[in-house]
Amino acid sequence: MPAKKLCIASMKGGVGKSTTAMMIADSLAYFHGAQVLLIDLDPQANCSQMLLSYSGLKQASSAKNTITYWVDCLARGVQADLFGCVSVGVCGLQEVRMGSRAKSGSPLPGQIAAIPSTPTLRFAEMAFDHKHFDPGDRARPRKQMTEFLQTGLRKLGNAYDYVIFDCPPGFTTLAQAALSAADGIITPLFDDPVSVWSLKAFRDFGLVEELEVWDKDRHRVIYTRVQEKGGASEKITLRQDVNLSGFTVLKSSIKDTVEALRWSQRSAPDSFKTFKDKYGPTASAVEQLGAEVAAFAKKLPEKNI
Amino acid sequence: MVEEVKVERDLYLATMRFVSVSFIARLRELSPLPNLQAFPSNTSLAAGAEGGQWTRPDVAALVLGRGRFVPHWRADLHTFEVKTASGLNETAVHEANAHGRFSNYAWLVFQAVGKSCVESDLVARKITRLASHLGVGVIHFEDPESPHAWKIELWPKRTGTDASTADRFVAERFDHEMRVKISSNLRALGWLEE
Repeated sequence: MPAKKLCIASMKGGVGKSTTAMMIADSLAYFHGAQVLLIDLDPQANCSQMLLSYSGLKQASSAKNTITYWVDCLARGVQADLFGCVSVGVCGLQEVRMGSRAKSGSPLPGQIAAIPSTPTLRFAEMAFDHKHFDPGDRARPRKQMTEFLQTGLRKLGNAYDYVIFDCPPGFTTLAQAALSAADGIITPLFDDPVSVWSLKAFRDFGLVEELEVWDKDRHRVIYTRVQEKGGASEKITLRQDVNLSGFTVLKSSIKDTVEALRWSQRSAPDSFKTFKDKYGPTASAVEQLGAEVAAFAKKLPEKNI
Repeated sequence: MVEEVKVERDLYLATMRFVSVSFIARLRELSPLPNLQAFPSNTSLAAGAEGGQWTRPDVAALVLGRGRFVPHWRADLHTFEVKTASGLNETAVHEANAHGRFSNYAWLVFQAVGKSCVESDLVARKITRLASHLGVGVIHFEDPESPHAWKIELWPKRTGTDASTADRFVAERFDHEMRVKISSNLRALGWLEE
């Protein structure tokens, strides 16, 4: 079976895209025995650093096992295979391997692999955009990138059960290509008015108008950084607005807790924490999130790429 | 039911993917260097300058790593002779073994489908027995698209190939882009000067 491709994407920054992507990857690999490939498309490289550590990212960058290198090759007209940029055995699962209790009947325990990004990704993308710029066809760089990405994903074969794209805020060329190639989109949302406006703009201007990929059944919203106290009535109104605007919201949510913050500063690979220890009180929410995403992905019709 | 791949070169990409996403993870389990990296290249078309028989492994991969606390280097060249199910015979083991004169570890990779169970079991046993005798590693698979399900049946013995021979092989047979990647990685590992 080809991998289910999920984009964790939003127009707005700081809503928890990388954290959500990491939690989904951890949960799918740990509880569902899935082979997960996490592709970081964000030049901030937060996800990459959380998974590989700073020194690991430097090592991957030196070995040119990054999405930056892959885009750079495309910009130079050199063929590079996406699978050749994969970093295996990243610290996501190793540190929770002890006490693993994967539920699936998979013969192999779940694993997370990553294609990390570096801050220079934006420059590689600019070079790519420049190479494919066409004044008569504004969308040409995106179309070209989508084609390359789809070919790269095809060549991954059935190596992964899930490919998760951690998108940057806004619509970079790579993010557009990932959104076009993805089977499903998950948008983390902070329940304040600006985030909700941004969600609507993301869908209406980006997914509907520009990319023409929006489909209600392929898009889910998840509340992140949820605070228990303050502004309850405003939050209820905002959430009603989200529902009335035609979005489907996941039951899971990620609370704004100290544990979630602490978790994102992932510990050393040899610390061997159990899943529960690592996530603290957030563990059950992350487990539920993984289960919901797995169910969502299962229902997604495959895109012909 | 997985279909038999009829053309051998159609399996080269799958072998390179296996090396990149699965083989390296299994090597790390044996030799847990955090910086262990594999650099695979299609070497099927690059003939050696000296000519001769059985000189072109289909795929080769350089595996590089460095110790963290006890200073040491890992720089191993692996060669892979790839066979379709119908192209598999005992000669393939000898061919894979012959490639070991360039590399530190010689592998035979083949698709195990298409024949009857009894027949394929018999062939596999013969192949494995001979490979074990010669020190050739054996990897087989049913679905070329599922690299995590490929089975390492037999680990190879290290050959006596010296570092300069392996180095020359990489210099002459690996594609340019892969050599650039290798150089960049060696620089990061502290081997080459900036």
